[in-house]
Amino acid sequence: MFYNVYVMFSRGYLGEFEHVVLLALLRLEDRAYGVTVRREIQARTNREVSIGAVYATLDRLQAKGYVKSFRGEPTAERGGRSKRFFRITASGVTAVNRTQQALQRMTEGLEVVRSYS
Amino acid sequence: MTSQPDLQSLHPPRIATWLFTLFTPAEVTESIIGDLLEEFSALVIKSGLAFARGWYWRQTLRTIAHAGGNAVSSAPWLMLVTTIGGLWLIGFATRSSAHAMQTFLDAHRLYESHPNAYLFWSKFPLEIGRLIVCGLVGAIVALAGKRMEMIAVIAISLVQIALFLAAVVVVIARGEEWSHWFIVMLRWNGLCSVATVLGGAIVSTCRYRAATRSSAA
Repeated sequence: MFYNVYVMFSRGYLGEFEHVVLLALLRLEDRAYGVTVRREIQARTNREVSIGAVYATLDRLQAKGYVKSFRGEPTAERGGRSKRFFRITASGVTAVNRTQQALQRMTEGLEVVRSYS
Repeated sequence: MTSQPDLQSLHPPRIATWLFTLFTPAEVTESIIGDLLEEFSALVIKSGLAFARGWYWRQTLRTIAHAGGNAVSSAPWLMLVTTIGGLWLIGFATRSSAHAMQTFLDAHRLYESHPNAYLFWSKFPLEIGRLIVCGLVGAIVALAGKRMEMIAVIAISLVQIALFLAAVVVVIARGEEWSHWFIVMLRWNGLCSVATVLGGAIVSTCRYRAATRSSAA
């Protein structure tokens, strides 16, 4: 079991929520910041997500080099606070593809998956 | 005719915002609060102030719960070391200060000349000293456990409370008189736990203010 966990991390596979967050960044392109990422995930997965969980995941992805962030201009509706925009990096896209392919291989030919989809 | 919301009251709960500054890493707190304020304003217009405030509180509590789980799962050893180290430091500093005070009082033979003063100085200042020690240890642990400072100090206070309750169980099991002792010790142990959390909260607030200043500069 520990070996499997080690292999997953060493080959850059993503955790479930990391995967979802990176897909949200891909969908939002240059409009991705805390509010839009949270709303996108909530709208598409029908799952209430806390802003703290989104930021913790984005921070972790940034530490892994899958995401980069930059500050926008401060706005009045945010009490003069600036937005922190996020963008997926090339290695982030690679990690998403790798995880997608692994999931696809795992679900290939499974009747139970077909009956649920 | 619909009534317009009072613009002055359109601010999110201050205590919830303060908790956010304590439990989120200082570098991202401003962005998170900005995001929450943006969503809060939209929710006030869409669903009303009461709903928006309830949502804000839910976000706060979920974020705190997530920060706790994240600290334990991402750095379990750091959490363990800071908790055990903090408890050891409180015990060591309390014992040392009690010993130093007792040595001082014995050296001046205060119990012979002023027995009431002796009783006062051998008890009350030590408890006050213990509170100060707890606050300082909370601050030290918060400095050591960067990005999880509040979770680390809360872990120490919870263990302190658990140890106290275990001591109460032992005293009851021995069949000793415990009610008076329990009330006195509950007060000091409770205050010590609060002082530990307060020490961590001061460090966390200072970090947030420093991060806000540096991002504004």
